Amino acid sequence: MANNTKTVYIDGPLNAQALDEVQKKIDALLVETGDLVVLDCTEMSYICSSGLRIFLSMHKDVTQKGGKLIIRGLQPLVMEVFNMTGFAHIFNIE
Amino acid sequence: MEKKLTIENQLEQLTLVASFVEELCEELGLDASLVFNLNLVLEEAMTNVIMYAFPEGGKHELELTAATEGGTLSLVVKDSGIAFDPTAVPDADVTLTAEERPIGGLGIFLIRQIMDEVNYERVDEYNILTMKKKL
Repeated sequence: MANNTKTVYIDGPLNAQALDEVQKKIDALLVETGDLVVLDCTEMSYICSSGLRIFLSMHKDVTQKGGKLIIRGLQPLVMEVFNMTGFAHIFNIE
Repeated sequence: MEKKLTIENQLEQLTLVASFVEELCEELGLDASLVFNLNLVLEEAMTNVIMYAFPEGGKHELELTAATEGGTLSLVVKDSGIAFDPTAVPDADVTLTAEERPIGGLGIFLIRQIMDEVNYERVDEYNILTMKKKL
């Protein structure tokens, strides 16, 4: 089974205006069976609920394909949003 | 203190809201985490209006008022869109697993988590969402 690591870098605020661009970046990854996908959020300064939903559907997609999604580098205030919404328990956060 | 901002029903206009929040927090001497959270609250509330309140399209206005009284900050969002009570949407169940999680309900959940009081009224063909936070 292929076991590739694919990384996507999210930068700036993931707000309503940025959704399309981020979705395109994620779609361009072309996730395959068994992939390890890393969402590098070191430069992501903000996230709204629609942004969380993009991450959630990506998590489902990768997991269904037998892979693993890791979220890396969450800034403290963004991490708080993950905690508030219970997403901190759903995702693999490093 | 009272501060007002009027924007059009376009997502790009939310950048004006972000600057409004930053100015507001600077004037009130609020910290970075409140700037972040108030921005999130207003983006959730106003994105909802922009996306769903005007199904017939066209140019419409959203009015945002921020006011402080007795150590409480009120944020009021007013629009002339179709009647919609976001407070009637059930909260997202944050204990569910990824697979069980439904789409939706997260925006209002975040608003309720961050603010101390959230009220909706329909007055004279306007939706009025009032969100209060003790400072």
